[in-house]
Amino acid sequence: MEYEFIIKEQICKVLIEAKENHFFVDLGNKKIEVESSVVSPNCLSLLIGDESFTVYWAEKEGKRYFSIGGEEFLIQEAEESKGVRGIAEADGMEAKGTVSPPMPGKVLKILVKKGDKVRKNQSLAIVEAMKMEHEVKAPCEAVVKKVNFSQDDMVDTEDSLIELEIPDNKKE
Amino acid sequence: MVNKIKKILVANRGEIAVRIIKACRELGIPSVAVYSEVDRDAPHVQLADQAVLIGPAPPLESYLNMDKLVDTAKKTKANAIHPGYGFLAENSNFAKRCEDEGIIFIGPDSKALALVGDKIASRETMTKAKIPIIPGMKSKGKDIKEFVSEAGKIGYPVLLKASLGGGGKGMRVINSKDDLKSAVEAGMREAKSAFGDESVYLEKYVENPRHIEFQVLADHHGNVVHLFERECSIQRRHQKIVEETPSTALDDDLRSRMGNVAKKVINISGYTNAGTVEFLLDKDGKFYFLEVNARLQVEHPITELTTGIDLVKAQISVSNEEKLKFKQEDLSQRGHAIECRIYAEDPDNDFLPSFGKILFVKEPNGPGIRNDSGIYSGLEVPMHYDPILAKLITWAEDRESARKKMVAALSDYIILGIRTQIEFLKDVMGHPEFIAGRTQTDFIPKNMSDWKEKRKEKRFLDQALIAAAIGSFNKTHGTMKVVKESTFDPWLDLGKWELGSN
Repeated sequence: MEYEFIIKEQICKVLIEAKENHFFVDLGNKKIEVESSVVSPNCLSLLIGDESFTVYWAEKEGKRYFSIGGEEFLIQEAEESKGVRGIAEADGMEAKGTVSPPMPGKVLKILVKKGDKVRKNQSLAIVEAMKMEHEVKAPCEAVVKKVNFSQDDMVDTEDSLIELEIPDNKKE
Repeated sequence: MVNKIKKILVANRGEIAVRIIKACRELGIPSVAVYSEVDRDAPHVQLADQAVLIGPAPPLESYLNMDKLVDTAKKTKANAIHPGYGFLAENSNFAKRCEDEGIIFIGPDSKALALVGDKIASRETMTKAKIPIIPGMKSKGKDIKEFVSEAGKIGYPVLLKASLGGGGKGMRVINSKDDLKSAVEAGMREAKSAFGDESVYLEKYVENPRHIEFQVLADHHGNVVHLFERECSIQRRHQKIVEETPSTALDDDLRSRMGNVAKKVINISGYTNAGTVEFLLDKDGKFYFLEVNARLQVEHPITELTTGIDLVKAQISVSNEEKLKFKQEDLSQRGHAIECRIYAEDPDNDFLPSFGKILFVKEPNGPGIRNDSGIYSGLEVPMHYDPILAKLITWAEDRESARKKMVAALSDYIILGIRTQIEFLKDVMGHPEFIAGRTQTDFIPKNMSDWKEKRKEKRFLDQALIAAAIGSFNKTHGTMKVVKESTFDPWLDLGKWELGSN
């Protein structure tokens, strides 16, 4: 089996096959034979050679959280990950004119309306979470095409909060 | 002594509510937890003798709802309220309301609260009493001429502050007369838009200070003691993240001078109960009174571990009108304690809030490790409140031992499902400047601003990827992944193997 994982915006390919409770893993630059045993629902033990590694893990919404030796890892499977699209879109975001909040939260205020002309870095909305306010700013000079959320709505980082019409000469 | 306090309503949530409820249980005083709709499953609800729903998630409709809290206290026959920190802890109107309703507010009385809460009034009171304060204007500036002449008197650099300020808004450092006019104008605009009031004033800018505070306790019988200092210079976004005691900047002489000033501040404010006197300490060892934090502080555990005094129990005892059980000469600092605050913040996303369901928690323990926590595996962390999840505190006989213990304890603290800044804290603990005790308020911007880029290669990346692949494999094949067909040979499939390679 071949899997693609995203870790810190990097894609890592892993080949894995199993025989009984042994796994044969190809990380691209190295091949490793691993014996894996389940310690408890959130803990497994990997035996690599004669060294044992304790792995704590949990999974939610396609995101997998690992803690090994005090180090944390957040890993997503590529096909499950919305993040891949997110990353791909990030570059084109300015041109596309979709503005998303940097963190999930509640819309405290929408500061613009459809048809408004906005400057680069002008505040478009304020999103709040855990008593911290965050201003969502215009990536460049534009005209507000559509506001998709209103005050008190919950928004996520993947949501299109505000759509902008960007004049051609401002596109990069 | 007759116990006046029969039952305590804890008007807070999270780790501090848990901390206070535990103290109540140890004292044999029944406790009442209050909770908002999103805190139905919060640990303080489970721990208290009684728990009462007080309203929807927004703080104004629950934890800040005075009517509801007073009403709940009466209904549950709680004759005292402990406000914790944050929310209504320093609200003199709430203290007054409790006084009027015959409920004991565990904290200073409303008059003292009002005095220490008013920045300009308390500056005046302290000046009269010859308490060292940061030199500056006595009231808001009228016109630019006044600002120029005042700045000249104070001496550059000066700090422009909004009268109603907070959170750094409207604040500006001005280095010379040339920058004054535009800075004052910009500061006024910012203050106007942030606080609806354009009043600004000037203060001497203390460069690269340390933030040192003194814990005090005062009873209703005129006894005041200080429980030494806490060094709280390590802050991000005006928020403390690491505290320790003793401070590496204080010697016995300076410590006793600052402690005496702290006690004097409490005396002249007519303040009772537990409080904290904040100072700025400059690089020449000069210190200035900043303000009184009229509450139990987040970082109180480090004082408890080094003095052996339980501050929550002391608060309850003072509110019970008992005399302090110890005098200044009975108190000493023993060993060294460090606290790291564990916040629900995503270090990979500019430390912005991270909330949602915690899937798994494994907490450190062992000698000298204290964990004041408000979370457990499976808890949904709501987005409506402070991001503090827990406080990890270590104690050891000296600073270096406490620091090493903290590094180990942080490594053992596992929280999965939301992001925390535990790894950042570990790198703060391991930074040469922290090890050397050079902790000024610019510690984070100066030493940690390139943290993300400079982070060490992770040692266990391979193992994490292997675990992820095993997880995916098991998902695809079910856990019954045993392949027994004689035709299958993974060695052939995957090519040449180096056994045990890593």
